Amino acid sequence: MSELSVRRPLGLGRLVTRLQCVLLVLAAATTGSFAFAYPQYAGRGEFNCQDCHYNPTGGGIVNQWGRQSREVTFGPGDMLGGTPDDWWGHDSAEGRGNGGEAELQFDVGGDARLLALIPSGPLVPMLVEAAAVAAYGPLVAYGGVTSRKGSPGLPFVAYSREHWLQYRFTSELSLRAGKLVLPFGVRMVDHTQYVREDLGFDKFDQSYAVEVDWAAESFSLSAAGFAGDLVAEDAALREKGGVARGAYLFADVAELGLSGLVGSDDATERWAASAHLRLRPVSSAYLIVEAALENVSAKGSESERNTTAFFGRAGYFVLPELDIHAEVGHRLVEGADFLGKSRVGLGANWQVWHWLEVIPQLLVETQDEVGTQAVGLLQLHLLY
Amino acid sequence: MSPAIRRPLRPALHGAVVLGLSCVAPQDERIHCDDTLAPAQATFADVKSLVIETESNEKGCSAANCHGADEAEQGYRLDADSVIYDALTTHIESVYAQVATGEMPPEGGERWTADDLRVLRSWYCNGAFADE
Repeated sequence: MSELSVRRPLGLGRLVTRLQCVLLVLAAATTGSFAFAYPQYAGRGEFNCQDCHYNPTGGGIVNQWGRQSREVTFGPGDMLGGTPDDWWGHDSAEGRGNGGEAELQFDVGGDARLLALIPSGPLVPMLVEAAAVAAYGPLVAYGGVTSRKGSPGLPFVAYSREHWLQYRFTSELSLRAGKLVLPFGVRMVDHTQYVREDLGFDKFDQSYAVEVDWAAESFSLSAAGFAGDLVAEDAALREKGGVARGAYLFADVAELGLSGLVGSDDATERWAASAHLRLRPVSSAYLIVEAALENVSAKGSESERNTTAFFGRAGYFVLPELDIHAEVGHRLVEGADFLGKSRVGLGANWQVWHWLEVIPQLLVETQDEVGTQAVGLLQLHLLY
Repeated sequence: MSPAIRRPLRPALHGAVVLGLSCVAPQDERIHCDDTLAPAQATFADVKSLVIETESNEKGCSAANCHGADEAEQGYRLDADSVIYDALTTHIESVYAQVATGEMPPEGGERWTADDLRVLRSWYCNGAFADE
């Protein structure tokens, strides 16, 4: 017997993996196709965010279809006789009864994201957010609340990142108004790409806006007029302008998208543009690429900042609930060379149970003046 | 009525509570753009001189046992231009609240003055340019 063919004993880990695979096949056979809405699920041919989310541009709590599609994985709930939905009576808010008549319906959900530096750091919360949806016929109300750092006397305060009203003209076309994440580029779940955070689309960068969302079979288009954060932001800092994101879908193989933004506040004007590609070159593999440009100029002086940002990730689903990936990111600020930085990384996104994801990553980051640093990260995402 | 279309009351109550809480106002010590200085009077160099700890600036953040290269409390280093710029532009609300309320520098540290705070918020309100 050659060394390569020596059979290892069937340990608990391998046994669980095999059970997962068996149950996964059984579950897939009984629940239809998978429909996860993370950008990387392009690797399985799923490109439309609104298939799984109440939010037509993705993010936030998932709808009935999104919830059901997460239940294909094996987990302790199966052994305990039910999923969290079974235990807590989790319903969907589609706004229609079984006969299609308008009906007032509610749904609630939560999203907790914890992060630890490996091997030394404690597990700390990045975001703990609860959200609710109310729907009646074509009308939908969505709101979320999280905690945000306050002052020493009140360390944390309740804060809403998103709350909006939506009118659905059809299943593909809707109008929203409220505080929301502006449509621009690719939304990622694990906060590791430069393009979003460097161009003002970070965790607390939502804006009050009126937005049209149109998601057809072969394309998606979102356009919004925005006015900044009317509650939490000083009036002088509120950026007002317009933003649009369009993407064309090539069957289940690729999405090619363009985004543009023009805005200004009291002191500055800016424009930004982004091009992105989500590609499924072969089954179970994916490629996500985004390149973006931003120009910010001062209204009262000659000051100007030109930023280019790039993000790329290639991955492969070794199991339907586990993808491994390599990524690269880069940022360059013209005229401020010290702000250049780049990052390469390896990681995995493993949905170990219906509502729990484990995301280990190893990142190597190079930043001017700081040098090169390697950091290990472990993220836990709890989604309900 | 089949179980599939039954709507329990509990999710409805949860929904109403969460939607109501969504309207709660945010933090007290917010950065504001009142009485800001002209861009030339609040440059990135001026902000750096406040953030970097020196013998003549004990209110700085980059002491060896705080946000310096050795310790990097909370994962943040504030001893180089690039990391100072990124920290201030992506976390300005948090940073401003901490120095405005005296939470930072911690016990024993010299507190930022009203003029210091004015420089920081003026630089940010003027566009947070890296020009020096």
